[in-house]
Amino acid sequence: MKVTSIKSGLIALLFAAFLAGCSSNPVVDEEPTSTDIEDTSVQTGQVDTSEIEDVAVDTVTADTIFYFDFDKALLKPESRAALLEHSAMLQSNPRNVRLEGHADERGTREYNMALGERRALAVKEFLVLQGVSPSLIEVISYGEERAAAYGSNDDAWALNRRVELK
Amino acid sequence: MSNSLSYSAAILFSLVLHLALVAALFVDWQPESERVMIQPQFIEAKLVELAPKKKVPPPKAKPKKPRVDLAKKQREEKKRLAKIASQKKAAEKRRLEEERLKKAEEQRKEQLRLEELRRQEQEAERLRKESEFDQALAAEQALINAREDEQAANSYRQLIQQRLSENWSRPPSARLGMETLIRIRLVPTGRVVGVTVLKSSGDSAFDRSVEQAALKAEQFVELQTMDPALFERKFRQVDVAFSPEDLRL
Amino acid sequence: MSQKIFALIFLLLLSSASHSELVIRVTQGNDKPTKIAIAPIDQSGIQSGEDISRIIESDLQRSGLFKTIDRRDMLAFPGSAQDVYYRDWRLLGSEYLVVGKLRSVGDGRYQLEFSLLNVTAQKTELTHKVNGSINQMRDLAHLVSDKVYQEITGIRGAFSTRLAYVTAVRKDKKYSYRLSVADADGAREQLVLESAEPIMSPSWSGDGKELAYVSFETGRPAIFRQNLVTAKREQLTNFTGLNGAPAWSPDGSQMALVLSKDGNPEIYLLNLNSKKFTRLTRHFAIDTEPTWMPDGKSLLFTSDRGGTPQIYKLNIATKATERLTFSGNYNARPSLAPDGRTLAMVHRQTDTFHIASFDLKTGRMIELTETRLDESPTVAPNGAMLMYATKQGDRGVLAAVSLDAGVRYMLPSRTGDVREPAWSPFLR
Repeated sequence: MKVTSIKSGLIALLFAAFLAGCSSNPVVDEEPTSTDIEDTSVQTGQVDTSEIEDVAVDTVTADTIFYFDFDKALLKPESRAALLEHSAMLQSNPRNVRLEGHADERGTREYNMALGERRALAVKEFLVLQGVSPSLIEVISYGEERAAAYGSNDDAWALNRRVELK
Repeated sequence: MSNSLSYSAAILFSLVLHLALVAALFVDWQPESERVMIQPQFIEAKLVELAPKKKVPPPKAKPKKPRVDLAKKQREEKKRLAKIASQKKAAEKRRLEEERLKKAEEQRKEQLRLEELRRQEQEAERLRKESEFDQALAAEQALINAREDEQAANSYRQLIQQRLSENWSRPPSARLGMETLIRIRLVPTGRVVGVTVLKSSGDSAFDRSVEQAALKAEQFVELQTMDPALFERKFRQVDVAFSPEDLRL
Repeated sequence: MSQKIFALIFLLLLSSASHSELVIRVTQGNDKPTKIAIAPIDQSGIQSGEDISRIIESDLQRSGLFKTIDRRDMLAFPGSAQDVYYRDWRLLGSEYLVVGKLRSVGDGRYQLEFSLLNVTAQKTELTHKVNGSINQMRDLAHLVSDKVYQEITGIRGAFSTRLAYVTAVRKDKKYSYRLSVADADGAREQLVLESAEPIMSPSWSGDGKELAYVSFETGRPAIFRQNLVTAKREQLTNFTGLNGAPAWSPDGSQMALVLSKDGNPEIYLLNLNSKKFTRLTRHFAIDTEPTWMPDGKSLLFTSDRGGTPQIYKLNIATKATERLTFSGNYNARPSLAPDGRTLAMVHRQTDTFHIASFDLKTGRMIELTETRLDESPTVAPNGAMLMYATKQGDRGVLAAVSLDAGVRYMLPSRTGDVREPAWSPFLR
């Protein structure tokens, strides 16, 4: 009995010492580390818009937009008639044209840039095979950056997978 | 009367014979006696038992009438010499026999010694086997005791492990294969009074998560129901290894 | 003799067996957010307009690894370790406590001295001072978050980093594209460039001082670099066809990019000092979206040379390529975590686009996101979270997910379509 009380007393003492040791906040002797925040404010850049010209309005009555399947750059049969019309016009009445390739919003942006270019090149190749001078045709891809239709659905996507002749 | 005379002659003869025998014993046995001396006591006793029975030859000569007669005296002297010679011969024979016996006795003794040695060895072997058996028994008993302790301790261990597991929130730096070994010091109320890292994982955040898990447990109140002896033996200090096995990386 | 040895071995076995049984093994955890209290910083009457403690709280909370204690439950607002009664904080269930004091040190500079206290172990884990101007209170707060996060999680904090992203606004059939930089929490948006023509593919320089991007301002895509502090710009490419997907090398001396001047998209290397271009791929398929391995010796890129877009690895020295992904019909836009092992990418198993992580060592692909049309993953420099672009209704927004998919959050939505986030490297 006596031993137990001594023991529990000792334990209590130890515990108290433990608590005391912990509760006294250790004073940080050394100078705390420090950091200086630099000025990192951002300046806005200015774009040079002098080179941008307004795109001329097309006078051809035939379809100027040709559609494609997802992740594909194969011309659809229904595009053929309009493209033949355009190639005839460009041969009889040569002018500089621009083929703008587009993709729908699915997939990655840079890949869609490449896909848009591949579609525009498919149209260019058709026109060149019909006898249009390649020097008249400029190809540019906008990827998914310029949607023709809004909304994330099959109808909108179908309208956005396109090449526009301008 | 003649009968009594012949008897007295026989007695005389026998007396002379015995004297001669005693003389012969004194003369011839002297050198032998030393050899006898070195023999162990019990062997001598055996000799006494065996030797006189056969070796003392029965008196051969018949008792004769003592008669003062020169020729007869000469004859008797001759006879006496012959007798002495024959006695000497017998003594020699006896001595050889003694030697042979002694040799046999030595062989027997050697055999006995070897037997004794073997017996002692066997006894030692037996004792050793007995002590090994005792040891094995003791070890087994210790094992049984330990098992009983383990069984009693196991539920408490499981409890501690479960509580620590619940309290252990690993940092994202935790990886499979990391291990921190800590020692938790407890008092019989089940309260955690100290946590020491015995082996670091090398990742300070991981180590701290382990310490926090133990400190957050605060008190294992269930330990209060434990046999105090068991607590002293196994739960005053509890070593816990934290090593995650349920992580992806 | 042999029996003795056996006995010895037996005893040894017995003792070692009992020894190993003595050690309790904990192999499972219960990973819960760490409870932490951020005592309101004693601002000594300094009016900054920012609540430093709130910023720290939201930083830590957003990481998913912390749960903060409501300020209204706090019994006291100590400003230093000396004023702390641990029992009060333990009662609130708080494992850690951050206390701090802001004071003026003259010349328009202010100093925040703060401590991280371990309530459970009742001790101070760290004390640090940070200096800044009156309009850098958010930086001070993010720095506190970084220090606290690193101390407790063992991972460097990325709260002081930034995001670059593109916002497109369409108004009356006219577009406006804005390239912006904001704090990693989306606050303090600053405009880098605005254009009526598309801006794409922002990429941070290794020192975090410049951005490279694609701008259509000339009527065609071209790659520019721009210093964020001086706003000085430089056009790096002007080729026919694609000029895209710039990716600054880890040492900052080179840029991987995509040109289609030879007929179809190929990966090139531009030496930023000599301005010399080196063609790396030679394939009729689409090769695009290069990203650097941390050692600067290889690139990962997207190619459809196998029929569908997949991730390939290209050794710059030997130009040898190796296909890495085989699971799913669309894997593109690789973004490597700083461990050099975990690859985030746009992934389509059958028909929805998600962000997936791909373990380069084990080849395991794990879908991380549950939103739709997810794209442009960018991994934080500490590898804890990744930011990506997704759709909320018809609008593009930025969202984040931890690389173990356990934590998700969305950045506050803004006007317009937000897209193409790029997480900066560590800025100090």
